[in-house]
Amino acid sequence: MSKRITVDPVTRIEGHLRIDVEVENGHVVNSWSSGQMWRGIETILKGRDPREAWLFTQRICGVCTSVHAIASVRAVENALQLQIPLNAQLIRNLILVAHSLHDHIVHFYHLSALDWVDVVSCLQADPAKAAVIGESLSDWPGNSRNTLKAAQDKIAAFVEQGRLGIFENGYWGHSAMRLSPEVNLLAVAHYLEALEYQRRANQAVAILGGKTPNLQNLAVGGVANAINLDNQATLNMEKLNRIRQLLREVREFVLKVYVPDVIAIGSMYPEWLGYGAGVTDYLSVPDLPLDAAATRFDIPGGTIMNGDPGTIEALHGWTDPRFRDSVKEHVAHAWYEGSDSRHPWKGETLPNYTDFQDDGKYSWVKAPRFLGKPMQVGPLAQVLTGFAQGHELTTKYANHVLTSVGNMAGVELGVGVLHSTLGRHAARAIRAAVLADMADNHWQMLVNNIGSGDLEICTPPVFPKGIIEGVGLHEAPRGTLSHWIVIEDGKILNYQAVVPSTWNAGPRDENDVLGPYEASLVGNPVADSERPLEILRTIHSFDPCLACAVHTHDPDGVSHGPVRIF
Amino acid sequence: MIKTRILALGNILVRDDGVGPYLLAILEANWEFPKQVELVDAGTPGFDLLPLIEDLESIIILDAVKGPGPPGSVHCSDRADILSAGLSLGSGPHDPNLRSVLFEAELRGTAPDKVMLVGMVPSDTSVGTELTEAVMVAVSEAEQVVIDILADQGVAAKRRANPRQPEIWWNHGAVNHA
Repeated sequence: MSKRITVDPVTRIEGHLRIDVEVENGHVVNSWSSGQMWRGIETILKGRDPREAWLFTQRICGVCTSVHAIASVRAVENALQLQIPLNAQLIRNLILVAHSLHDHIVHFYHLSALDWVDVVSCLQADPAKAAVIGESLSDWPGNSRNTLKAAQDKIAAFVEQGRLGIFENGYWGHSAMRLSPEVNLLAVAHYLEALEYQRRANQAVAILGGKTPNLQNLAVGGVANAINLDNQATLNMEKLNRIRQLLREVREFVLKVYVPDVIAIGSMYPEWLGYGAGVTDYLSVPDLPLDAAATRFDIPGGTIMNGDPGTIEALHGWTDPRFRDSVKEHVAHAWYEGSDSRHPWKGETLPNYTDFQDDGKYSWVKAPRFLGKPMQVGPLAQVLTGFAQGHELTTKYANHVLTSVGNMAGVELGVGVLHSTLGRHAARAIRAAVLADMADNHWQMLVNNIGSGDLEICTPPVFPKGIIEGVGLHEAPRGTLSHWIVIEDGKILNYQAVVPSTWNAGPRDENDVLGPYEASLVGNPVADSERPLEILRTIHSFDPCLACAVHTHDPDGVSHGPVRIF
Repeated sequence: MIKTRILALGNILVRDDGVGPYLLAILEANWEFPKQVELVDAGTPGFDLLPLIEDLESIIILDAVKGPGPPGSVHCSDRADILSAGLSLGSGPHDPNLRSVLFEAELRGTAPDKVMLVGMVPSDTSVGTELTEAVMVAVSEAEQVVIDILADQGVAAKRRANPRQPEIWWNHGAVNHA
């Protein structure tokens, strides 16, 4: 006899997601992922000037503003075959790196660590013992006894006042929570410190972007950051030095706190390296161009099928027809008219809401497919495709994490364990370390290029008569993002955004093949159906972001609980 | 040094949900503010709201709120109202929400002393960039509410002798690309 569990909404994510699972004998046997918001950006963009599309697309999601802005200008530039100045590429790269670092830190500590960390338990910890454990992980100054004691006192004061507030969503005392009080205390202290370092990463974005969220410095053809090293009002040496300093501080945090914490949690929950694989066909796209013409990239992209690194096929830049011609979106199980699949340039978004139908339509998210297959995207896809191509920094940090977890858990671990719930967290930390290392190089390239006398920042676009098509790619924090644009006589004719959470959170396709969220849940244990912590662990590991529509402050909170059981 | 931030929240792509940014543009067009006051349109920042409410004396948030009352009703909530509304933190349609981010700031010891939410009840939050009539009417009432809150806090905004054209760029057919 199976039991149906509905988690609606999944909390501690950006946006609104509903997950349904059927559980038999303590394990998930079937699942449905349902995005609960309609996205219809093209209805707003049709007929508008392509040069202003980015201002609107960065409002699709208030959390991922810079990624949707940059993908949008890249789409228009791709349609125009417009080469932008090297300074513009590098300034965009620095924004993307800083945003990714911010995003990965927030996701791990503030949106998902509480799936593994029991905050209340940290009150039982001995700070001196916790400091010994912390110092064995790294020489981070925040691992001292005094700092840990201060964090414990802070939490104790909030608990005494009955103000656990944000932590109330945690599943304290759940049988699947296994860290010692001391490790929980370390994690809580790092949660507090991470608030500071995510902020520093964001400051770097704000200096370059004018502000964040919602960049102001972009333009189709480049950026709007006037460069004059001696002028207070422009991008100058003082601002550039501040950016480098901020990114170096964030790098310290990533290498000495974030990566060791992921290693520690991985070694204490090794069984979660065995759950949550789901779809093991992976897709990533190249990013961080190293030249103005975007012929060389700092991070590679490609595909891997059936989890086999031997199947690696690299994607060659942003104009590779293998990507451009292989993407279709299916609506057989999504609340849109029809049941066919369409290439994004031909895409439609005609709503057709039914009830939640297990065998019919049940989500506002479309189901993207690559060569007809669902693909997992995200840091794991990027790390696996980079590793398979021998990408140096990816290989270095992947080996470091795998060896360290293996040593602590007393087992030998190959790259195959990354196909898992905790593997996605490990991959995100690996990606953060890789990007943190790259930041300095892109900064240096920018300063060298400016120093050589090149102050170009924008190549103004000219729109031809007739119809042109373009795609803008970005390997975003949550994975492969593509914006697809059709322009007629300088006006937008069609626009579709195929976002990472569409790839991962999408429903079944017309052949009833499960999407990555859905497939990853099958086989997961569920110890307590009233508190399905394990479902949250696997779903959160993807870093879900469906914050793309309504944001209304609700003074009463939510009237129904987040979990329903039938 | 910025001491007071007027922060608009909401998504301009879904009609009345964008009433916060709309009100912000009206305030900017009609009023001159002292240097210590900053006006920011933050969109729907989720967790990125945190740095925007930190290290201030006062934060005034403009946002769409669910009821009570008919569309266009204007409600003010203070810090205690926002923090005390039950335990259902971080479960709203946009998540993490104002309440959970305010809590994080308290945990860090960086929360402003004065927190006011000026909320307006929406009518239509479907895809589109125009406000509905009912909510449009509420904007001038809410505008005065914000000015009064500032006055209560000892901050004098001055009505512009020649009001500017409000920068509601999302409603315009074209953007200035100069």
